[in-house]
Amino acid sequence: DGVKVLSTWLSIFGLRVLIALKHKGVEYEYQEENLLSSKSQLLLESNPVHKKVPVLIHNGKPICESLLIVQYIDEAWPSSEKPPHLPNDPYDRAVARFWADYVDKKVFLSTSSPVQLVSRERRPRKISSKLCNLQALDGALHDVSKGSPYFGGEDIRLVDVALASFL
Amino acid sequence: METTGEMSEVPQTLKLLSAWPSMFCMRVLIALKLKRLDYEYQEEDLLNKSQFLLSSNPVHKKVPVLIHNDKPLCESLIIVQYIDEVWPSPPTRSPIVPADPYDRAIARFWADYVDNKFHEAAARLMRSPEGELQEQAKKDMLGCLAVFDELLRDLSLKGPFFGGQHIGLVDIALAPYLCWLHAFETIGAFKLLDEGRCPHLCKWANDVLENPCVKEALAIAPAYKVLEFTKVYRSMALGHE
Repeated sequence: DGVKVLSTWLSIFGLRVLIALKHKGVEYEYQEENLLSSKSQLLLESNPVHKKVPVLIHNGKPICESLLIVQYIDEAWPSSEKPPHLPNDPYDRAVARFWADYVDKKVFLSTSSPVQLVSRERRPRKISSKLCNLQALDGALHDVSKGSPYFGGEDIRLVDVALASFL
Repeated sequence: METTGEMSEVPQTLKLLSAWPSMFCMRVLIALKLKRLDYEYQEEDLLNKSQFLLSSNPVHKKVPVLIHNDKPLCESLIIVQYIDEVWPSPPTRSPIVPADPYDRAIARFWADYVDNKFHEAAARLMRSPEGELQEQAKKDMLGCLAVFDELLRDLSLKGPFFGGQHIGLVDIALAPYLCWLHAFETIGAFKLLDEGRCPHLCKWANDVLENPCVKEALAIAPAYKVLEFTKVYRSMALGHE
């Protein structure tokens, strides 16, 4: 059951994969990629479309895109000891996917361009849009978790994994 | 309403908030028809969104929204996966999302690629005036189609579709763009889907359009109507009269 992760220490997305693997207790080999110099042949062959990390290679087969990898980890190692990253109920699952997608589109995209790069005039709008996105997430956490500490209720789930790497 | 297994004992209501030009809405329509589900269709005027839409999707305020027994679902690919999970396909037909975890990850990857690469480039084509930005968008769209063509070539032994013998997630993600082909080619003054460059994708387009569920779903957006719509959209986006 060979599991290898191609990532870099800087990668927020790579961190998601590592959190998910550790949570499931899956052993893996980690390969650090140097994205500034040259990407390894393995990375270029495993992710020819985007040439990005993270990539999970399971028994020689590559899987790309961090949220897809986390869902794959759930499905490939279903274990009764640890609850899955995604809820069992289809509706709750759809809600979890929605917020994980939101984290990628709204939180990540809005935080990836630093405020300093935006002109002074546009800064208030940019800051308030980041705040709105975070407020929406905060509201969602309140509604979805019903008082529990995580999006997944009592245990760490997909959206928690998606967000945790930002901290 | 035809339902499977234990679901048939509970009354089901399905309502789709949609807008006819939207390729994302068409994806959900294809899935609903493939599963032979009864649903109520509500057309939204995107310039004057209904209160119901705004309260069902307060985060993005977008269509499609599928409301199943009063619970709203948003984001087309998430909705399609939900439909597949709640109403599993009969044994004679493969599921929309593959059963094997690896194949599933691959299908989701390519469905995301349609959104993040192809749709993104198409949106740039629609919003850009003629010039460098538009040329880059055209180039990127052609690049995506070449990638899809290669993928189909590699998958050809498994069947005519991205999903193999039956229409799957990636087929559903991409098929609605066929309604927009004429509009893209007219706005960009170029041949986007070309038999010489993308023979496998051209064959796929013919095969997928022969499927009655796809044909019915895409019938809400005939090519000439989409072109008229895009002209209006472009003049608004580019600030013309």
